[in-house]
Amino acid sequence: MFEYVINLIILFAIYAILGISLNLIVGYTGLLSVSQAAFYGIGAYTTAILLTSFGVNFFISVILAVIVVAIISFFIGIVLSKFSGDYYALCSLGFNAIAFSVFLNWQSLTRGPLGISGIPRPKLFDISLYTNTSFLVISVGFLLLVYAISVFITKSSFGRVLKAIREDERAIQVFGYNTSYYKLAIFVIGSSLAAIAGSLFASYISFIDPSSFNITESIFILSIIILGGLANIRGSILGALILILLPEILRFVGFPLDVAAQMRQLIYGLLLIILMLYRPQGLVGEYKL
Amino acid sequence: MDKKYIWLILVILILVGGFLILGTKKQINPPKELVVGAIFPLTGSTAQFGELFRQGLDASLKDSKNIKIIYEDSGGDAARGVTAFQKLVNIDGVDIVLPIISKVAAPLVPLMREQMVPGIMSLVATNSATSKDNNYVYRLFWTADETGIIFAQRIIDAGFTNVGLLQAKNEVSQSNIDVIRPLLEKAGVKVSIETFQDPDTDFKTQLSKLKSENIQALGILTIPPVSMKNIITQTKQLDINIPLYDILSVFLNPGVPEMLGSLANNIYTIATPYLIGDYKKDFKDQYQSQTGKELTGYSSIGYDMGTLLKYLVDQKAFDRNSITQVLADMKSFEGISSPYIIDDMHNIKPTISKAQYINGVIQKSEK
Repeated sequence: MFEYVINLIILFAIYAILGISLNLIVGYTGLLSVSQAAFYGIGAYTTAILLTSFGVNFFISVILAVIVVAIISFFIGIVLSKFSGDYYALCSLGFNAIAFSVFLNWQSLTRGPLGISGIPRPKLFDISLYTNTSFLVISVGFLLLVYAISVFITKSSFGRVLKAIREDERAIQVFGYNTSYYKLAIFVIGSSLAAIAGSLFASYISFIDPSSFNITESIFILSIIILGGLANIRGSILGALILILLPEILRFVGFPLDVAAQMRQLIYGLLLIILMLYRPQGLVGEYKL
Repeated sequence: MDKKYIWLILVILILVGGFLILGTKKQINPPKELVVGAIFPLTGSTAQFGELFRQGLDASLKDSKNIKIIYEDSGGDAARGVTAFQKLVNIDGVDIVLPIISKVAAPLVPLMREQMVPGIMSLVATNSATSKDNNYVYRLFWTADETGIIFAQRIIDAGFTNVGLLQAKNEVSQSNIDVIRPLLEKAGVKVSIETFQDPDTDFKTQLSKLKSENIQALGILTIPPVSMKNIITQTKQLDINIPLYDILSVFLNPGVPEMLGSLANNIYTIATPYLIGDYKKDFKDQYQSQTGKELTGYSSIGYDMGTLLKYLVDQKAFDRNSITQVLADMKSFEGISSPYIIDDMHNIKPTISKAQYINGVIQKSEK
């Protein structure tokens, strides 16, 4: 029982990090990005390759994954910051498709559809943090770090400019703010934080393949923040908690065996629709798309 | 909605969850009961495989009173598979797990070892999925080594010197390509490979390119039957009249022969001896007359999984240690698909027969 609950908390922490990172871009800045799974994947692959091929320490691999994603997202962000609204969403979607294709086809690096298996757990000063309990501490530690960074950003003057861009980009430009710079900066920050989740996922699950980072995953991350609440960091945590917990709770409902899996999926979908009907801005959201 | 209501909903959710989890907390198993955790994809794009395996397993264990199966849906997703595993092992207290499909089984391999839970996986092609030193992980299925070698041998025996491979970008196809390509190239056969991503429907570009290479035979590596149908249809449209090979045994899926009809006449495939009427024919007829149904491709493998579980019960292996011991001592066992041989890499391997689809029936083939 203990291991099962720990497993759920670890997955919750990973998805909460993803939700928070995307909320900075979508909720606070109003940029509808549908590419978070791509950066999550780049982070996961960077850590997986560094750990399995070069024996790099996990914590160093996380830092390197963040740097790699920051560099890539910088160049992607330069292109994306020229767009807004639907065009921004479409371009980010296109980037996710490209990233997925790279994961799948750059076989010498990513092993393509075979995926990378045997990704080890973290080590600290030669002590293997092998157990799920130690991984739980690491995951929650990273979640708290990401939470603190995000709260700091959103409460700062930089965060207030982001909200102003979301509300009226033209108006803030009149005051002399270079909004492209702010949009680029938050895109890089949000994407880099997603890399941390990717690193954790790779080391925890011990196997990654391209299908974990496709467009469906980006939509799932987006649904975490829409359900939990846009422009609210705690909303991302709430959204991740519900979307990870709900399907698990349904595992314990005694449906007839033949239709149990389908019934669970049906109820899960229905509950999400009902939630959205009665709370379109998300549970604790402060902004509506 | 007031924030306090939202937190109230959350608290209720957690309480209900906790109640349900605690309510189903592992009961002390009655003595001599084997509790099995089946981690099958029952929803999602690979659900058909989970359903077929479940049908076979249920048919096999219909009259078994001391085997209890708990099915958990992995949805074909690695993380959901891990969660299902943790639930089955730590809450339901299963004695053995049966994960299917590579993406779900791969992350469970280290977990089975760590938590000392024996497992038999299936529909996993990668050769490296099992290892000599991991006594907890077994595979009941054919490997890419076997299917790849059969295809390569067929091509070499037929004397072809130039073949094309049309490959979906997935784990099972890639594992086979990694076996086939070096074998054929070593034998002096020119190999042209074109790829696509499921669920693509238009293969004319790839097929035209392969046609321009003047290939003498085409090997098809895809899993969804609808892709196979589209590929075969488009080869006819492009007037590619060369022998076609179904390398991954898509024809073992129920309904595929009916869906393809005469379109697929003469296509080469592979099958277990049972499916081509070469083994356990009496059982096949008896099963059909009793149930009015037929155990098709993957269902028959699922049935054999059940037979293996019954063998464990016969050997009084009701706990994880004794199951691991019994599996380690096994060298062979008799399923309905074929006799199985267990190698030192912990692969429980069925026999694969060369087959051909002729006039709506999958028949044994010498070629």
